[in-house]
Amino acid sequence: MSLFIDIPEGKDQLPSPRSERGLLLWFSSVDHKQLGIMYLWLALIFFVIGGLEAMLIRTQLAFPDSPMMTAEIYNQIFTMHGTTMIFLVLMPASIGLGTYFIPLMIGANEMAFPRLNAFSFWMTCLGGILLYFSFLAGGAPNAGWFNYPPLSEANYSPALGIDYFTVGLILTGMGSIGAALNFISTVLTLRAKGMKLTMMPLFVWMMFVNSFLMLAAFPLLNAGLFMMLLDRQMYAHFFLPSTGGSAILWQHFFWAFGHPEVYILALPAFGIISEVIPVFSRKPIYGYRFVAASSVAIALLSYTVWAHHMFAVGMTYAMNGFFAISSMLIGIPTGLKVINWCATMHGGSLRLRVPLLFAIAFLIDFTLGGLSGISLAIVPIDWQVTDTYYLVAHVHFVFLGGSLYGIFAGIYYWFPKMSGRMLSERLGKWHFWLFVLGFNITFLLQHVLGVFGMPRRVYTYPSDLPYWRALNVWSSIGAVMMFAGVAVFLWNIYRSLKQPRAVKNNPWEAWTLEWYPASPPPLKNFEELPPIHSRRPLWDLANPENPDKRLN
Amino acid sequence: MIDTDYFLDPIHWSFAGAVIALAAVFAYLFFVRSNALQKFAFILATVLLYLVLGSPLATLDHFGLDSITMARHMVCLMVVPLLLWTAVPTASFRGSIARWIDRAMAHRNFIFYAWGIGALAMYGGHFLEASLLSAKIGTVICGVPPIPDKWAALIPPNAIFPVLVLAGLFFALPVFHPNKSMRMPPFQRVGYLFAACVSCAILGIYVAFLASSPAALAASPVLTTLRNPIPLSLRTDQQLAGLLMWVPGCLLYVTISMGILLEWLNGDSVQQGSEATIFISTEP
Amino acid sequence: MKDKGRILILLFISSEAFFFIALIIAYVFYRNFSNATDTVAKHLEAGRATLFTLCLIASSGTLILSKRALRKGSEGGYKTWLALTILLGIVFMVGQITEYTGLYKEQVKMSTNVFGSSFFTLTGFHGLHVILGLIALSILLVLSMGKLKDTGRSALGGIDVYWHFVDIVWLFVLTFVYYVPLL
Repeated sequence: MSLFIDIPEGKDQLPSPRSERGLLLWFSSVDHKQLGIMYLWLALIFFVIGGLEAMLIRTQLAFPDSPMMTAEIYNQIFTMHGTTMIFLVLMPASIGLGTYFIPLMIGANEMAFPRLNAFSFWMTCLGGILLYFSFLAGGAPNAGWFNYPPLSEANYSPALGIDYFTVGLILTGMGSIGAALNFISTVLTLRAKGMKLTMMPLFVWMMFVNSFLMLAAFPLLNAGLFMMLLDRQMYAHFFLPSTGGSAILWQHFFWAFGHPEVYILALPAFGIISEVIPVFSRKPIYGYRFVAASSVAIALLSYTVWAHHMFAVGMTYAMNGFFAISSMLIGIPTGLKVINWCATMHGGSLRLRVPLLFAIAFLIDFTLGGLSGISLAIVPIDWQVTDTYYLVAHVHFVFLGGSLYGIFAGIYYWFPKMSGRMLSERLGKWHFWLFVLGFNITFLLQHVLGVFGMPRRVYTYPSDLPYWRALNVWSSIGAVMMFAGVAVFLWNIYRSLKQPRAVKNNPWEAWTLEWYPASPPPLKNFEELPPIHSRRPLWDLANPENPDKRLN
Repeated sequence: MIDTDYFLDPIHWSFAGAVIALAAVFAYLFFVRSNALQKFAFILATVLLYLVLGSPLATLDHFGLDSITMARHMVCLMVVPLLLWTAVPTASFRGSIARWIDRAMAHRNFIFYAWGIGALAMYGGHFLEASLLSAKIGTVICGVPPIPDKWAALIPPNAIFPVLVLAGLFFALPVFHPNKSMRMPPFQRVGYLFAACVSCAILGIYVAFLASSPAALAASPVLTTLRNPIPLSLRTDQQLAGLLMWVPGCLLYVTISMGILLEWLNGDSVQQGSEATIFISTEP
Repeated sequence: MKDKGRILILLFISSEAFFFIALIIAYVFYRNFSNATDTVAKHLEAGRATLFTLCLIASSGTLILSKRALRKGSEGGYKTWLALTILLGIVFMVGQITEYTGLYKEQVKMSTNVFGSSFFTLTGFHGLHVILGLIALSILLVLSMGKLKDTGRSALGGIDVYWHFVDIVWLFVLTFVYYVPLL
């Protein structure tokens, strides 16, 4: 028997896994479109898993003195929920959309390094699998998604869960760095002739800036994780205060990564929103340069604010004051963006399709999340509500109301391009209303819970505390609604994929290059390119009598 | 209030300095043909220099305040040079000095040298000044213990500032050269400033966190306050110094980067076609 | 400039730089910001380290020479300088390994205290990078012997940046780990 497997050269744009060697064609693929889709499937699978964990949490907390879970199990569940959602859902989803659309939007046929692209994906995938393997290896990690020592050290968490956590995150981190390297070199070297950096679509801009952020942030996390791993496996003392190490150092490393990470997850969503809003408002984006430049400001500023996660650690007033101020400053470029998006919609002929609905919900809920962030930057308020459900609500408003809504908008917007089929508008609206209403019920109430003093990460609570019971029940009802919304979403995807491919090249009448080739694009994206003279080449093509101002 | 009195007391405001500053401003207004922005930049630079060298801020330094030193250094190294380059009109940037500068800039690795000189001036300047202060005051300032033979005390006071301004001028050259066509391409300029940000942040972080280190606390207990008009403990003072370098220092460069990017995205930047050279090629 | 390989390697080393900055910060943190006493520094021999550092610096020099030879079209010079680079790199690694074994004999280990931990982590990660570079350079050397000469040449432009980077990182490690405690 020969060990040599002849991997056939792909011809079909998206080979069916059921065809002969179709599965192998997917596994061995270096095509950016297939890898992008695989990233999205990976994110979706983990989204369902993470969502089920969230449901477990909400079921447990719906009633006081709930006997369902023990504290040990609960710790594992909330840790895995946070880690999964951040590192295995939001990251791969935004990287996947980037992998799929960056080459298409800049008129390239492939990423700069296709094999590095595949490497990045499989690293991320392997990291996720390792993280979940911990359930079989004696218990999942249970020290929270930011894994503070000394709790996470070997003498307090002797199970192997945290080792899997560190190794899994190191691998996904390497995958993210690989993807970032690829994005930047693709953007710098493979732009279509005539497309200058200042003419790129905003999604590409944001992913480009975001990649620099990833390059600088993930090494810090990886360094910290390596130290943690050495602590646990080789008896080093980095983060063990009892033997001369410093637990605070881990917090600094983690948040020096963790705060940029918030923006790493938010910037792709900003990019998607900046694509969706103009198309569905039938107007070019208002203030392109402000939206583009403010993302650089966000990227740079995000490195000067991390200690606001550590106000409760006991730094001095001078430190706290400075970080409070810089944290509030970072609201300015973000606010600028929100104003630009609103100005884009103002006076446009809005087409209230699902992507725009999600974009509008994004504007509202992300702004709310930003405002609660500003309130947390005020040191005394932070001291009062840190580690309560107020913080939980804030982080969910930023990650769901910000990043996830953006990704949903992007998926509804680009699904026809990726699969050649439209997602059902009716089901999409069901998804939207169930999810957004459920989200706001769940997490707006949690602000109140937090102010009433419910600490986060408690596995249950006594029944005689005023209002806790009612608020928690409602919070769980909202979570059920969100879950139903996601079920509708999955059904929508399943149903659409059953239908034949029937979508034209440009179903939304959008203006950027990814809508130029067929849906889904052939293996070689562009046989020929339209002339590119402005930020909206397809508009120029459709309206030769009224083109945009020529920029090159 | 004692501290207000200190700042208002005319004794602490250098008269000679004011005269020189005024003379400089008048000379500039008379002899240099410039637009409003350039005039404003020059006047602001002069005012800042006066504040740093001739106002009560300068004399506060005698009390061994690290934060004041840091603020003075930042103004001299990071702010004033930018303003000075902005104030030089393109047309009047000629003569032998200008030619010498342009020839130096043509060197392949000029930007590395310029950046290195900036960083060296920042780090060297700060620790030199810290040793100077500690020699003068006799306590540990920013981790530098007072040196027994006090060689640092022999350095003439204020000698460090002209050096800093010069180094700053050198550092700012690739970004703020009066002739726009001599500047780096926009994206490269942002990268240059970002690298400067990182180096500011590292110095700032070091100084700020050193203040709470056990060694520093052992050298001078938490509540040790130097006799000065602003009642700051040594620890707070040093933290302020570090944070000043870290946060506003970075913010300064972020703001400049924003300006550069906005100008570039607007499309009225001079080097429109030069974006292909985003990365410095060391290939010949 | 559309040399995507060079862009990639420059970005990659800037990312790596942050990794090493983090490790160096940890070392400096424990020495200057915590109340532990540095027990490793007194076991280190700065002079010996300097000697091996010279080897590493020289290897960067020989790599430059080998690239120059290649550009001039001197096939033999390229191979010779490349082989010398690898040799010098190996000498450096031998220096590292003997230092490690020496320290182990003096009971200075990863698990001794924080300084042991951070010393071995920092120099160990640097050593891993050197080994990685050595592997890459050896592949180049092997390729230059066989039929795939051109492939090797196109990779040289990336590997040399990486090698110089490893060299510069070591200079920082040397300063912070070996020299600063002497002050």
